[in-house]
Amino acid sequence: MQRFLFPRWINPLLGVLAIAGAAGAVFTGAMGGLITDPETLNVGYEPEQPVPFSHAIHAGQLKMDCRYCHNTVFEAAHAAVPPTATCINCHSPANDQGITALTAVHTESPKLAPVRESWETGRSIAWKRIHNLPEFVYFNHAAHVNSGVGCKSCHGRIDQMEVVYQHEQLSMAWCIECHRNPDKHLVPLDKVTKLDWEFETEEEQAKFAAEQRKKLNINPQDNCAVCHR
Amino acid sequence: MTSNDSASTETPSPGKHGYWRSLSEYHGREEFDQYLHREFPVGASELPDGVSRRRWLQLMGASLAMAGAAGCRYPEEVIAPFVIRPEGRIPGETYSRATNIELAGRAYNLLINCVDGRPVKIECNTDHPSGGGTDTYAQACILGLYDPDRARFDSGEVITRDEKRRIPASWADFDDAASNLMAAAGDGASMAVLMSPTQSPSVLRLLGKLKEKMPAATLCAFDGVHGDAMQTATTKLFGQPAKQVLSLKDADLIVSLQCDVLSAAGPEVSSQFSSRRDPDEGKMNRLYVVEGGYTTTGAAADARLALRPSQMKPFLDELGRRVAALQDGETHDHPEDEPAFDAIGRPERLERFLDVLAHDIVDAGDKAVIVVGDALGAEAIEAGVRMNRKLGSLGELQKFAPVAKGDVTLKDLVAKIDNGDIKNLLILGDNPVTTSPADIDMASAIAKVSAAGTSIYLGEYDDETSLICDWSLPLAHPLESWGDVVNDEGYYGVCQPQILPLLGGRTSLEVLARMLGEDEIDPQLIVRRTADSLGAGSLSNRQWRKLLHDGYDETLKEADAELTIQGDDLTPSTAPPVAATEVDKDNMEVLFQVADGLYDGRFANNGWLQELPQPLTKVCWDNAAVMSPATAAAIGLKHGLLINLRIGDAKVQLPVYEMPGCAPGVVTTTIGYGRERAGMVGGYAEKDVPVIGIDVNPIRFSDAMLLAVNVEGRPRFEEYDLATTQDHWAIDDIGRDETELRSFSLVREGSLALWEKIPDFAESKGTHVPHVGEDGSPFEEPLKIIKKESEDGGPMVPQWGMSVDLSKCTGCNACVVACQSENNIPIVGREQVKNSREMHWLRIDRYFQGDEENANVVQTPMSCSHCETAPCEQVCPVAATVHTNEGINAMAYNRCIGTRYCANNCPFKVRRFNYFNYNEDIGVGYGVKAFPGAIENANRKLQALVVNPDVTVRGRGVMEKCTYCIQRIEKGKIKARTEGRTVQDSDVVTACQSACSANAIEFGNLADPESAVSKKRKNKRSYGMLAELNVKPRTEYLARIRNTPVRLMTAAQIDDLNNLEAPHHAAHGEHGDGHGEHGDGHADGVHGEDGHDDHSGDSDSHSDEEKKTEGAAAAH
Repeated sequence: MQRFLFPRWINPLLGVLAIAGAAGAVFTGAMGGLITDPETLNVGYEPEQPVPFSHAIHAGQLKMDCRYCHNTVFEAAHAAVPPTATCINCHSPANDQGITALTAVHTESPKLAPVRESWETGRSIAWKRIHNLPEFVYFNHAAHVNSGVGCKSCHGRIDQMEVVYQHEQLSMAWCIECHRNPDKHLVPLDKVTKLDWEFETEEEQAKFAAEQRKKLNINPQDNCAVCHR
Repeated sequence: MTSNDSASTETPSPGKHGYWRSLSEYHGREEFDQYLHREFPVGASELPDGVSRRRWLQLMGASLAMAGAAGCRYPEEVIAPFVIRPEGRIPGETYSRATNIELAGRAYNLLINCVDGRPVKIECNTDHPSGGGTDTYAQACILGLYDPDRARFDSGEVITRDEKRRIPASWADFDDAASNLMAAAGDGASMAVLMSPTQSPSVLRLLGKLKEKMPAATLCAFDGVHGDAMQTATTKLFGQPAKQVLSLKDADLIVSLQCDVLSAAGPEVSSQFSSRRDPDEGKMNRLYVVEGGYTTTGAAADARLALRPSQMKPFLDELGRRVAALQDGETHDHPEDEPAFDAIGRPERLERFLDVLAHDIVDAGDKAVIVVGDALGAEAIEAGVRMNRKLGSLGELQKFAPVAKGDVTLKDLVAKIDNGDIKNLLILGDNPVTTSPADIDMASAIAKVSAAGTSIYLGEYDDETSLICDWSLPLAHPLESWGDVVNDEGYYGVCQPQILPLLGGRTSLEVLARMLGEDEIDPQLIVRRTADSLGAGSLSNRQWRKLLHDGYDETLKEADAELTIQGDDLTPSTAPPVAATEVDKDNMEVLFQVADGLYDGRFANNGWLQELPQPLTKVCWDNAAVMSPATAAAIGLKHGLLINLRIGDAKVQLPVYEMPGCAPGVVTTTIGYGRERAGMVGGYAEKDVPVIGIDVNPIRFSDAMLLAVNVEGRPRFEEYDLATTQDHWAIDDIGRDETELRSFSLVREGSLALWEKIPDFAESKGTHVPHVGEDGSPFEEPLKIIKKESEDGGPMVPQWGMSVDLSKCTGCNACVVACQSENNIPIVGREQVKNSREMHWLRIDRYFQGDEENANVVQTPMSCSHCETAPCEQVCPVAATVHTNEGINAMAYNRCIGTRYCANNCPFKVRRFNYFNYNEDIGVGYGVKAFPGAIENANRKLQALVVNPDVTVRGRGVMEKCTYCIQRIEKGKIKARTEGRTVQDSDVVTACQSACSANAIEFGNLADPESAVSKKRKNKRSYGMLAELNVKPRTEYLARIRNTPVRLMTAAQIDDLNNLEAPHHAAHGEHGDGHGEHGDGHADGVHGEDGHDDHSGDSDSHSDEEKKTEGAAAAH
């Protein structure tokens, strides 16, 4: 049987094939390694919120503690987004007689219109969720903050953010990294919500972490069942 | 099989008194072979009938399209916080509220776990003085709350009808109509109210007001299950109707006469019974059971006699005579060297049973109680009570509490209707059209009322009764209602709503109050008034809140009523009881039992209860005529054919289920099946949803609702395929001989006498546990690594383990439903159960011992044992099932690719595979698309609210199994951390453990020697199932102890007592004879460090099940 030979006119196409192959490799690499990486996809996610609430003013300038609003963080899985009533504590609108409370601030601000509307109508403000884990992961705030993992470790310097964005990957690899060695994320329990607080030296941090782990029996697990049930 | 000749063999060998799972195994029939050699039956990998290939492609196409559209980021979510958050509410956290509900004729003291205002799980109120546990009904009622079939009417809140059709209307329309009707009713002579007997003081108070307003009105309380035998008996005895309240804590001897006392009397009673079943904790009680069929109580019995119900009254009389004679000082000798109890004929057995029982009763004196079942009729009940009075146990062990009484029986009410006396009928729930017996034609009675006046039905479902009434009103679910109830011990409890009525229902309190024109129509206020009147005029707000919070109040307790017996003793019949040996097919006796799930049919639309394998028969989605093989043979039938049961012209046709140990000529069947308008799960003929099971009411009559005598049985040679789980998940593989050789080591039991002689007999009964390599294991085990860490000053890591006391377990199934509820286990439906695809993580295995006419039963709750050297983990190609450092065999669903290797390699057969997306496409689960087109999909979504948000809902192609309630473990650990301490025993209670009324299940930290589970595992009765495979199960069992009197022992028990040797823990080397007398409880590791390896090869060859995999391969 005669051997099959490609005709000569095929030869120029080889270059095209090579280019296509190379492009494919670049595409695959880019898709797999860069574009779908949680670093690209998730970090920096910054949706527009219904109320232009500034953490930089409240938590940064005014130095309000995180727990003033997110008050369930030490006892529950969710660090609950505060009810409208919490906003109204300071931003209460004028009452029926048109009198505003002495302690109230920015009672007329147009930016706060959705808050006042929620307060009057009784309908929730629809905040956009930023830090969103898949449904098959069971994360619990209380377990972490009661062990001395600071807010900052996962949420970044919220006190410096005008608009909150996702600071960390929140991917499984990122979780496990800390579960394997949580030492550099441990702070004293009373400093958990102090976002600007830091140990002065790394040695001090390491020494504290060793003590803390012993004292609170901190032994983060890295087996599946801890988060996936 | 060697069980037939078991009495005559001489040398003790392990296989001699083996157990068998079913008659087909006993006879080595082909069907069993199929179960044995295949992981799944033929055709298990086919798609179910309901789904065509076309539909399948559509579904798959849709899934692919979804996958493409899902995009790269997780979908955007909105957080909608409260405007004002209720005080104390933490979003996303579980909270519990106390409530007391009346369900299936019983009061339950419960805690309801809710998340974000949504009830998700029922628990027992353990703080309640009489809170003993829960049962299947209580556990499953949460599914009924979210049943979309309760959504009765597409438009309009209620439904009325004109001449031809049903018209939607509103509650206001009904209120108008009702007030007109009440105004016209005058003194109420033409007015009648029909309802189930109730223990709710508020309902009774309002009915009292009705009687005040309309003195001539007729009230009728109808118990569609038990009939009125108990009422008749108590009226004769005490002059007023009363209910029986058992208090078995102090009972040394319990005689149950055709009374399934452990399941019929409620979880409190089975809790009291089980508290006396641990020989280490003091004197064990003794349970004698005389019954026609086989019940859970019969399986728990220390001595059991199968007797025809018609012979039980003579039995009781004869017993009374013998007890009296013995009390008068009569003595007689017993022959020595009697043959074993199961080696003699029926008449001799009856004679010996009576004799031993009479002696025992005399010895126990006032600590003996005789409980007579309603099936035997008023006279037998009365005789039993009078006998208890003579013994001195009446008022102590058996008490009676007065109950409210209707004016007439249902039969009289229907007669009144037929006379045209009743023109207006109000029916308060419970579907009397289907529950009424054959001789009462409720449907035409209602039609007659409708023609002459108005019939009103207030019910949870748009059922058979609702269909023919003029007004059908939706009744609120107990979890949506204000109400109250007085429990058996007299504690008053309020039923508080956990959620507003989802489907616009009203409570019977509200409907009654509005009809009466009361000022207070808010049910909360009505209940408050009742509580006030019980609490000496008024309750302070503080007291009221405490009552709601605790679920009870010590001061609101009814005192024990002083009921005095009137009249003289009955004249006992002189005819002695006869133990029939022949089956007369023209004189059969049919016992009607309440199914463990459906009660009188009111739970027919509850998928959990329909799919619950019935105790002992393991039948689900069906009812059957259960009879002994000899009875079936006498009629010319066998298992799986149909039988015609006839009384005169009335007949029913039921599939035959052969069950060892039933009395000859006795058929047991369950009521509540065959409903044609139950719903999309339980059958709806109008909408082509197949009807489940067969209605047996045509042969039930109002004079004896639980027993039919003189029934003709005729064969019908038509085959019927029952859905049963009995031989599924066959635990062993190497042929029946091998099964028998081992079965006694899987389920270990012994008599009390044996335990006294050899406390560690469980070890003797087990096979040798080989030890190989370091730590008795060929490789390093998680536990060992952690121990080393702890020794190095490492952190404390809890080691979870479980202990199940077979002596306490009654096989009541509460744990099975609790597990299903807690862990979002899907309902797969009848077809899928037939294909062995049931998904229950926890099953109750039952094994028979003896021969087919006289068999004992042992039951074992079986779920994942969390083996330390788990065989499933070794074969998973993707590490989807792995061990945690706390000793839990965890499943990572997202990793699982569905090879099913793990299920194949599991020696316990506890792994379950999602062949389909049971939650959506197939099955009858929480599915939103399960019944396309039948009801709007949006409606079906309501069912999905029942899922536990703490547990993943698994999709298709994923393996799953018991996780030791990992969500509860993590919750317990986090709770401990929040409180700044280490985790304690009480922090983690698994769902099965909390549901168990018998306290048979202990769960906790094995690393803590003081924990309850550690102590249980140090008990000498503790053994690990299949420990000889060196799997090191974390779940261990405590061998069952039967407190059987020596003269009633079976050959197997006598053989054990005489020949079983204590386990010897001598140096190794003398155990070449293999199985049998040389065992080793693995937990204490007495064999030391050098171990033996000569048995490892042997054990390996047995351990891995070499299932044929054609069926499995065909699935793909």
